[in-house]
Amino acid sequence: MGVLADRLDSMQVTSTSPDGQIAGVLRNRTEVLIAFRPGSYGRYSEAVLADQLGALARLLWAGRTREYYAALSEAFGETITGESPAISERDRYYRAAREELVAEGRSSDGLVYVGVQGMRTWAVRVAEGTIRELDEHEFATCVYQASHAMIGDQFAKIRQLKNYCYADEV
Amino acid sequence: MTFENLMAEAAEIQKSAIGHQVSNALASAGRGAAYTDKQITAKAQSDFADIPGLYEPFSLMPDPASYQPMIHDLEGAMRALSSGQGNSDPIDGPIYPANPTLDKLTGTESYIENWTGRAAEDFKRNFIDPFPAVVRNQFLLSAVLKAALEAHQEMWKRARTDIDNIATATISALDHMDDCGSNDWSLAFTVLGAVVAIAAVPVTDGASLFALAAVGSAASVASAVAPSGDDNKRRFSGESAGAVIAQMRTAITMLAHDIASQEAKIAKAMNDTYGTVTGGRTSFVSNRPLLADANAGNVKGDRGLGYAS
Repeated sequence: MGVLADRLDSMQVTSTSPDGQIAGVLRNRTEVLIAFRPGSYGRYSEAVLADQLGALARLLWAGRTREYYAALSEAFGETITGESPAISERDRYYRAAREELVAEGRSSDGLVYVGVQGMRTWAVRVAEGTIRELDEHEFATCVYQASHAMIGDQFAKIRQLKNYCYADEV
Repeated sequence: MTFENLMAEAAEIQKSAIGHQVSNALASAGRGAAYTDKQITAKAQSDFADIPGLYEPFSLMPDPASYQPMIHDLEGAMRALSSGQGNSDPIDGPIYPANPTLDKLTGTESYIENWTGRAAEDFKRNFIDPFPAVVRNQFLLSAVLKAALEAHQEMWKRARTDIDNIATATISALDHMDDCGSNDWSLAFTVLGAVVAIAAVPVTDGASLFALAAVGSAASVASAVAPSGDDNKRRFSGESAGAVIAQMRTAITMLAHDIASQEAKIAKAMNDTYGTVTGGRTSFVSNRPLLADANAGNVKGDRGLGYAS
């Protein structure tokens, strides 16, 4: 495994939900850990909590993207701040399909769902009654499971899409 | 990573490519696949079996540091041949202080004023008069040879950087190809600017000027004549282990051609210079004195020692 893989593996991104009550960490490529400000968890409704988590996911991914380009810049020895323009028809096809790609993940009990389309449009759903049923640590575990599954789904689908779009590349 | 680790990098690339291809093939095949793990692994090993062999010739490239003693020797020759007139290196500029020993030959004229005859005239015409031009031309020739060695040294130095960059970028590209973004990267082939053609170095045969073809190292010759940074960048892309390695093979082939093209520049200049020197030998080497082939019968004659008054 090379230096870039090591750096992507060890990358750690932190952010806070817009209301300032939930801190999030993305690490080891696929792990999302959250922690609530004391006393805040019980005051949420499921809908508001889901909105805050969706916004937090967006912020974490934006931070991850910045770090990712910094890692690429270091690995390839030139400043990279975004994707280079698509130069072939298959590049354009791949990027268009990627915009439509939906990745999803659920907690093992099914109470928390995380989905994203094109790594831009995020959707988090928390089943009714979850806050009453789970304490904040159990809920954080559900978020970990759902986001871990979602990110794994994303990478697996990206690989499938690349295999499909670039099958004749060699 | 550094050039010293090149073969370790090659092994890492091979291992990574095999690993990625196997895991991708297994994931794509799913359960009940027609191929077993063993077959998939064997195919990947076969697909990437050539990788160490591609890097091996580059790992054996000459050590740039090994050129230093030869360059040092030619600097010594230039110091010995510096007559004080036009005594800066015509390629890269440093001044070589005049060697006072060289003044002694032109000072001999007063010693031989009383020597007459054909031998005396020949000695003055063939040795004393052209001596400054011969020394100057040898100085210039030494400078041209030194610059060619420096260019070759620079070429290998940059070739080492370039092959290491190809290996490092390939490892990164393999690391990165499963991510969401397009997997493309650019490589600078710095060797392309290593050897710089120099405006012909003028030499003289005493009556007319002609020229030596020369090349120099971009590291020591004025940067104005070296190609600019981005001209030697090339873009690569690949979204699978096979594609990334195919791009790596292309980059290695390009580098081999680039090295050959730089070496051809040096070879052409040296061939041209060799032709100039052999075609105008008397401008670089004094004639053989007739006395050297004299014998007891003719050494005291007109063409031998001549007459002293």
